[in-house]
Amino acid sequence: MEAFAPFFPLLIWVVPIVLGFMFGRLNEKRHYRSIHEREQAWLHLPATASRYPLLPGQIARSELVNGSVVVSVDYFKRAAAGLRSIVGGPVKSYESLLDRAKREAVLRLKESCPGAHEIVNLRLETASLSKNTRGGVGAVEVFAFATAIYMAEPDPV
Amino acid sequence: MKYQPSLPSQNDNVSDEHPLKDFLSILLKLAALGLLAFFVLGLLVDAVVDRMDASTEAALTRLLADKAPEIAAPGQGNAREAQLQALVDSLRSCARFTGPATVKLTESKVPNAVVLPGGNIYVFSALFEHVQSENGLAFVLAHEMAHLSHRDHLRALGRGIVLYGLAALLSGDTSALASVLAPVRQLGDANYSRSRESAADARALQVLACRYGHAGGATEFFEALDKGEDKDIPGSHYFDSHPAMRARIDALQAAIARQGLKTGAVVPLVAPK
Repeated sequence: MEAFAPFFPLLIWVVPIVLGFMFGRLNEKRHYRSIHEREQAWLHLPATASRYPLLPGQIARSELVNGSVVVSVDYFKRAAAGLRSIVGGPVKSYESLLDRAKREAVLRLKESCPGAHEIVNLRLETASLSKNTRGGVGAVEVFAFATAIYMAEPDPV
Repeated sequence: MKYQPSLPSQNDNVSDEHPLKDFLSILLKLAALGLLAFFVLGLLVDAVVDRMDASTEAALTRLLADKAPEIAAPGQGNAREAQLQALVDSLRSCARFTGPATVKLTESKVPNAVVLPGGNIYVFSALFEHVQSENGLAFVLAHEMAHLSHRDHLRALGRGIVLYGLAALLSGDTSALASVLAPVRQLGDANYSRSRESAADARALQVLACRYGHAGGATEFFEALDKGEDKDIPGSHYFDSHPAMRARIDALQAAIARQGLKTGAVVPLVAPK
């Protein structure tokens, strides 16, 4: 046991990374499952970045809608990104994090206007929280905002 | 064109690769590169230390002399310290050692002696429980003086600087990474240190034979440690990088036989009043 004593400081690094990897993977899997289910459920509500609606007909009313989400990195993703920052190249560990955040923000936006017929002018903004503060929580906020359109009921013939 | 709701069949924005693959591949490549750099720069340190002229060494020694920590030993420390200093000074001509060598006695339960840059020899008080004769003590001191004349303290310092430099380069922060890398350095250096220790042993044996006319007491300290080794005293450099006690004793006895040295009666160690 004593032979391993010099390696104890190494554990301070390894344990959070292993925990981060385990919990991060679990959370990510669960989140993606939820995203896939909800995207399927909200497929009937089209969302575009265009100024013009896809659906023909009379617009009854429109409103500003938004959805935002804050996702934190885990120690593993941070360590992987830290290693990446030495050699350069695509930061694969952050790709899924931002992908989840963007899709979750759009889903929350859609969920905020259940009666709408279409979403136009969809925009996404990204902000990183506590940018380069040492020991700060590395988290990212994705904010989605758009115009929700409610169509007029077609006149009964 | 009619709008047809559908979800994309695949997501190219996220890589399918297992996240560990990327992490491990970079980590292993960097580790290999770091080890290679440490090895090459370590050889460079050796080359520089070997080629360093005496005046540069003296200047470095002066620069670092007063950087050594002052640790007062209680009780009869001063008399003991003076005794050690006198013994070191008496070994000078045999060791052909002209530089500064200041002995400092330190209160510690670990039987050990170390050299620090600046010509400082630290003797830990528990050493006295493991040597019975002046010859035994002289061998340990001659061993430490051999480190000084072999410039091993400068090599260790150079390697330390290389390690901290690499750690700072890779992480931008020396404080955390260096402590994590310390065991790595210990492992990587063990072989290197062992050869330095053997060289110091061989030199100390010659000095002892020159000073007392025989090699008696050369293995005294190691024999005492070898008997008590199961007690396992952590933190002593005589256990980490030093070759196993038995191997060192054997090596010394082989050298004594090879060089045809006699082993005479040892001078008992008298505690100063």
